[in-house]
Amino acid sequence: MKSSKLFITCKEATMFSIMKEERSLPFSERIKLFIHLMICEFCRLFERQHKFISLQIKNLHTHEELTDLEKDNMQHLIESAANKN
Amino acid sequence: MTAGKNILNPKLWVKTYADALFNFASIRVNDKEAAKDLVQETFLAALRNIDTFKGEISEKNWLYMILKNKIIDHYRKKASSLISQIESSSNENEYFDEENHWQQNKLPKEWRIDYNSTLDSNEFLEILQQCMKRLSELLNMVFSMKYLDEKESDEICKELKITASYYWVILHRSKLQLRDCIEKKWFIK
Repeated sequence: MKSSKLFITCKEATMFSIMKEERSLPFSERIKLFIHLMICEFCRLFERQHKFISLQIKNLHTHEELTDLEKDNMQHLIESAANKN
Repeated sequence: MTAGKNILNPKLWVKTYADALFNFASIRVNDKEAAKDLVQETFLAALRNIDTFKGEISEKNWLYMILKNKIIDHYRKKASSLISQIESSSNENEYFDEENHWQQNKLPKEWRIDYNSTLDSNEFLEILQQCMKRLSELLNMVFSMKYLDEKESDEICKELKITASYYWVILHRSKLQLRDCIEKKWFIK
């Protein structure tokens, strides 16, 4: 997303903010984002919140288990495959 | 004893690793049936390739390595068919007006939390997972690769065969959607 103007829109600012998180934002765009964030409280909130969400996703884990029946079926499948070898 | 060499014991695989591998897969593919199939395929592929196991890594790491490759194959198969679907699905434009500033009803609200710390709340994590499930599969794939596997963007693009600019559109869209969903479910009650 290239723009030559100094003032960017919120749509651009939110995109830039996401790119910045991955260190993929060129210097000139970083300046534009910085200026935008100084004047736009909503994009400032967006930036804090989307980074927060990234942090939480990294901590995500599930505790799910296969049923005994599913495991039994898997065990049978493996044993019959092993016997063929 | 063969010092330092790891050995394989296929008879115990299901008992020892099935649940852990299943968890690993199901958080990444967001579909329990597909996750189960991936685990099963992993065990079968491991059996077929049992001769290639040199004992340099542990049995556990070896099985995870196979599963990770299976997951990438799964992503790749899905990605091509999903790219066309996403064009018609939710769009970043619903968050912005004609001048590309925030729509009045989509303005981010203050959450009144410490944004720099992890929130130790099961309720929040549940909402996060629910909201992630609502994202399209392609968004979810990109998300899993980026945040769970901590892959770099160019690696993800290569694996899913998408362009960099498309990658950013996907990420932008999913972050807007996810933030909005979480705000509605968690913070505004």
